[in-house]
Amino acid sequence: MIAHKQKKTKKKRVLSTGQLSTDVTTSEMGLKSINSNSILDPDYIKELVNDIRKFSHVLLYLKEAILSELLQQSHEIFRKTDCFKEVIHIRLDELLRVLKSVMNKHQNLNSVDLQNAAEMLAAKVKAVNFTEVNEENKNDLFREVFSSIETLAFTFGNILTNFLMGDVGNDSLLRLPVSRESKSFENVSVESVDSSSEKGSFSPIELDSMLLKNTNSIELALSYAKTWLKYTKNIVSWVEKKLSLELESTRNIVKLAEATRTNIGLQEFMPLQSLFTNALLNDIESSHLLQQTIAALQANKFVQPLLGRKNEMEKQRKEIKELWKQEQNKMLETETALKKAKLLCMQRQDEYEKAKSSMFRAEEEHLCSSGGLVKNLNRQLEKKRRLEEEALQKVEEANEHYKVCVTNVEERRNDLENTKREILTQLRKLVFQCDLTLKAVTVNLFQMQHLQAASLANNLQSLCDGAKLYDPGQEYSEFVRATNSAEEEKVDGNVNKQLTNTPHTPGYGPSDSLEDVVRLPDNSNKIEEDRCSNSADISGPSFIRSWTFGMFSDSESTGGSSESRSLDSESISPGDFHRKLPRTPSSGTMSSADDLDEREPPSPSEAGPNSLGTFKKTLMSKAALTHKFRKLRSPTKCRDCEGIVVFQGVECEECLLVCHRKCLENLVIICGHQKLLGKIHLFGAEFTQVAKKEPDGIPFVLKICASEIENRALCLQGIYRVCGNKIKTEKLCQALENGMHLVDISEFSSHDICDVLKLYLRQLPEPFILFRLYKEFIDLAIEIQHVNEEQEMKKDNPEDKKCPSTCIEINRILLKSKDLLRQLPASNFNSLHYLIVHLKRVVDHAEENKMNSRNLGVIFGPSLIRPRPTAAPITISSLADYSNQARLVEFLITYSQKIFDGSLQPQDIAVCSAGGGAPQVDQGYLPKPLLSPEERDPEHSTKSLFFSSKEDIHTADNESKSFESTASFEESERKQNAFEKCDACLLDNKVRLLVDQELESASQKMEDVCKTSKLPTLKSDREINGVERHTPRTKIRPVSLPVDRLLLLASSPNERTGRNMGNVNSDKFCKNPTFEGVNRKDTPTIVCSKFDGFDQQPLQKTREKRYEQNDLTAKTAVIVPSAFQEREMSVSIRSGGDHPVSTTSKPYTEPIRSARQVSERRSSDSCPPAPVRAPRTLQPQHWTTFYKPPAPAASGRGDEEKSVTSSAAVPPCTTHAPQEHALKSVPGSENASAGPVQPVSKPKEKAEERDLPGVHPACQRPRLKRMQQFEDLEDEIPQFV
Amino acid sequence: MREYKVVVLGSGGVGKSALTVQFVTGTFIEKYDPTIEDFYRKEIEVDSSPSVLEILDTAGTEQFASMRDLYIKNGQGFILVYSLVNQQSFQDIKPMRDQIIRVKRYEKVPVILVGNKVDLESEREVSSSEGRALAEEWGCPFMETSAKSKTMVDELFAEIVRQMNYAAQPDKDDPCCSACNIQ
Repeated sequence: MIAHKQKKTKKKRVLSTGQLSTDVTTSEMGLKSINSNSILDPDYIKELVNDIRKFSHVLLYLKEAILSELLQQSHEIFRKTDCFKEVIHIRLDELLRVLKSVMNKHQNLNSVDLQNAAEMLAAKVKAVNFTEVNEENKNDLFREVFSSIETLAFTFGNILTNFLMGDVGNDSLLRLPVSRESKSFENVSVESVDSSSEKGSFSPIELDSMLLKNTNSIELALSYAKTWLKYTKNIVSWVEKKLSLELESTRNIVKLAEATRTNIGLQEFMPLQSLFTNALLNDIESSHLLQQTIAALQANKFVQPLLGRKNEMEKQRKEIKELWKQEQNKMLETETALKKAKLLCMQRQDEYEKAKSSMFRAEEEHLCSSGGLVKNLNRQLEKKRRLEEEALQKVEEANEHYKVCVTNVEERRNDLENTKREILTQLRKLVFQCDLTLKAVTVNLFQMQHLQAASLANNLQSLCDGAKLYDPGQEYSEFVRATNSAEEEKVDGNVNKQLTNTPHTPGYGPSDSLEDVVRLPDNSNKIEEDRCSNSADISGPSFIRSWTFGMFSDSESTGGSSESRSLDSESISPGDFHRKLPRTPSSGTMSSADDLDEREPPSPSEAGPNSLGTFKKTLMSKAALTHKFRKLRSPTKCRDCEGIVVFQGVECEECLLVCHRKCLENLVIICGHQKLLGKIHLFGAEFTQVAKKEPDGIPFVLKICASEIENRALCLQGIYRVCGNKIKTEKLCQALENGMHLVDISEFSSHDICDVLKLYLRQLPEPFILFRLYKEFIDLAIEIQHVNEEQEMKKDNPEDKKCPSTCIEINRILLKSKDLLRQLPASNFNSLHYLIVHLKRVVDHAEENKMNSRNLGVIFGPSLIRPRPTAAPITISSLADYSNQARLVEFLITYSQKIFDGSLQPQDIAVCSAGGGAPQVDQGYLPKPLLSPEERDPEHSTKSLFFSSKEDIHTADNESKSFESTASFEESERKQNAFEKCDACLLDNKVRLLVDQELESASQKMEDVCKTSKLPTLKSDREINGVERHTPRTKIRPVSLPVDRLLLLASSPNERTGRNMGNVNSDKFCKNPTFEGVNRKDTPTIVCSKFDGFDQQPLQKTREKRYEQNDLTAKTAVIVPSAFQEREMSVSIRSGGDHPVSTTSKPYTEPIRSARQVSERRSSDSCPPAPVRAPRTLQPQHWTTFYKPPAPAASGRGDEEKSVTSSAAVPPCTTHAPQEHALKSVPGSENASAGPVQPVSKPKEKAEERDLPGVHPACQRPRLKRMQQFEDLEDEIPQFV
Repeated sequence: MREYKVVVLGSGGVGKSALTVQFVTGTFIEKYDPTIEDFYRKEIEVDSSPSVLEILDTAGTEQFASMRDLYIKNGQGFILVYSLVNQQSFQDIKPMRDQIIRVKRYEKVPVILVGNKVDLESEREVSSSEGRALAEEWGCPFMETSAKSKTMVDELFAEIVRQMNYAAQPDKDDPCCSACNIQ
């Protein structure tokens, strides 16, 4: 049974080995070229890792198998000797098989060492005589096996590290020994203990035992090691010196060859020219190759491993020596102790003897003597006896001591023996390992040199043959012929010439030329003889030949011409020249040879050893062509792959960009013609850092990616959804960090660019929407969800379609979102705006790319807004977050135009928010109409609120539109806003009027107010247009506080329009009280009363409501214009918009006005009617500040209320009544949405709202102009009082 | 009745939702909406034993990669989908399997490799042999399906059920790791 099993396994093994051998042969024959690229391939690395893991597993199994079997062996019952053996052998087979496959797969790992180690292991296992295995000697028997396992593992590790460290010329590694390994496989199956026959004369055990006999063995061994070290040192120094000499010589050769080549290249029609050129090229190539080889040898192929090994050996040798010395010392000590003990013994013995003898004498005397001296004698006797006893004791002690010492010595000796044995083994192993290394590196050395020499020999041979075939006088005749034909044709390297020229070349049939066309002059190629023969003949008219014979001749003529060209530039390097040689058809090579590319077959040999990146084969990407490269001077980091560049490097002259030669074809950074900045930390870097660099706070990454996508990918289906190529994406990220704006992005697919953009956003430590605002935005998203649901329901009800409640809701949400967005820092806001606008553009093409705002919302949700990362694991509840985030982003995209000003370009945004700070953000943004276009239309009609027919109203049109959108107001609020706006406008005008002249008459006032309110609005509108900013009336404040909005509107940090804004705001605010005051029958009330004339009734309630808010507004508004430029001023006004207050505030008017000129104007004071009423007290120049003094002195709360209501009432009326064009200017928001105009008025209100702020920023300058106009007007108009 | 938790993984836009919906409802959705996460239940009969499949249709876009760990932990069987008209989706699939193994800490997780959109043969970028080779490497079944033309959709889900059944009774002979014996 067991035998049968054995046979079966044997057969299996044989089969497997058979297979293995075939594998081996195929691998040997196959041209598995080891690209250096393969190492860089992450997949390859993964495979490699897997293989290594497999291998280690199998190795472990083997070990375990042995161990487990050993354990089991201890039980006599389980006599599994045979099974044990089988198992072991099976495991061994497996191991070897895996190793084989690994070595075949990764040729780089295929090395002699490994095979040796494997062989050794196999031998060891075979050597174990399993029948003898039992408790006692199992350790001995298997010790060897274990050690060889370890060696194998160790070697494997070595090889692996070598491989991973090196990347050149691995193909030279050893296929030869593979056959040896197959032999070893076969041996395993053979039941013969034959290990030693393969290894050497002695097995290790025998060696050791031999040495053991020798007393000086350790010293001998150590001295051997020492000698080995010295020997190795000599060898290494020899190799190094030789290599350096060779390196130098190759450099010189290259220089010489280059020079000569340029020289002879200039001449045409010279005999054997091509041959010599070829030879030179070969020289150059081989020199380069040699340089590389040398480098490799110096690095990890010879010198370093050997040196490493040497050092290690040195160390270990020293250690061993120390150890041995210690042991010997100990031994000596024990021996000396022994000696001493012996001496002591003897001494004691002597003393004892003495004592004994004296005792005897004393006894004798005692006996002989008689009584008299008995006592003395007794005493003496006793003393003597005592002495004797003591001496005896001492003797015994000494004896014992001596015995102990003897045993010690014995022990020591044993220890020493053991140590000796161990040390010998260690030394042997050490030497063995060192030998292994030495063997490996030596093989490397000679192999590489052999390869070098071989290729050189081949080249020379072919050159020789070529030379033999030359026909003297051929060139001359060609020359003559060429001169004839050259007259007819232009010689400029045009391919077409070839066709015409071929007939002119007698002696070569068309077939010849075709053959030559196909030939490639690679230095490593064996130019076949027939081609060589042709080449000689063909070396005639080089011009003609250039088009006749593909690259080969092209190298001459174009080489010549290009060389002459390149000679002009000082930075000629072989790379430059070779760039023009179309070695392989590739986009990176110069176009001069492009037409020849087709005729050039891809030569397989090019992938051979010469793919190590010699100059000739430099391929350059589009971006790389923009640089002017020269040789690299000092080691630097490659900009493309970020590895260190030492040897194969080029450097651009202009921008100092450095990269590997082999990275040239992948380079994507174009030359900026100035020094390239260092690598920046972009992805994952703090956003504020990046934003600081840009004037508008938008990272260039965003801009580049977004613009590129807009250029080419808007119609690409699945844009932003489908991922790009991960490798390319990473490359682009790296390139952006290295080259910033200079990256040639056209190389990357659109999906890659999308990936990069998304990656950038995802990796920001804090998303655009700050963590602290997360909760609020999510709440907003939830509100949006409700609104959407409502809308869904409402869709079913057609009559409700017109119901503005959802619009109201939406508007409210819009307002809120604008509010929240305002709280973002400027750069965040800008970037967010830019991105959203870009996404909107993508959504505009949703038909083609299928990415509507909902989809983009899903995708960008988590990137733009996410909660602060906590340690808590992600739960299912975070799913809900995702949908909210998506909803928010979808909302932002859908209503982007209304939330942000869609027409704004980034630079506008910059300007807008240049002021920084929240309020400015508002001002940057024109509230664009939130309503859909159809909703906007009613707005237009309602715009003619209370503006007189001024043409400038047109300008307000835009404004109004922009103002429309902001509202996410409740209806009343909207109205209030409208009122406020109206008020503000009126106020504005009012102030002007009042300030100008004393406009006393109510009607006139009203009229004027109407006009002026229109006018300033218009003016402000214009101003706004110019500034492209509309005061964000509503953005700032949360929905519930329209007053705040006004305040914020008034606060106008925008430097450009700050003054204006503040003034406008304050004007507007002033207007409110003014309005209110107007209603109080103060002159200001006239303004309101004007409105009163209109339908106030419906608006009364709302007015009241608004009034309250307006009151607040007035109060708070007053704050700003105070001379104190603080809000405290409002207090005075707050005291109720009291007239006294207003009066008191009057004196503040002037200072306030001047204060207004400061940009830090918070809520502008609503001009109380009183000051309005008494404009004459104010100096005209005060207009410039457009500060409207606080609430009209006369007007109290009630007034304000009334004024509010009246003003509220007025808008709708005025809207309808007089001036449609006026309406236009005041974006209908002036309409206090009276009943019928309900839907319309809302937009109007909104428009008004928006207009108000719009008017504000516009203010100063237009106001001045307006002032003039008003003055003119007022000349005609009776003044209010 | 046995319950199986199946997770459909793959990069964005390959057709995971389409496949799932095709299986569950029998219709092909044309919508191009990126999923965040969808959940379906369906009863099927595999090898004459009825079972309930709980299918989790996941997000392909990378933003949601953090969710993946969570539902890999909860899932029992995995359908890895790539689009055979998109080479990149094929490349993206490999790390997903590694992630599954890593999270599950076990190599023999029931997995099926699926190449979707086989109806777009003319735009094919990933050959069958590539897919098959990868599946062999992983030791799992391989299918090419089309959610649009209903090719192999039902078979796909039947197969994942079978795979999960096999996994429940590990092969005693296979000493690959101790985890095998736990089940």
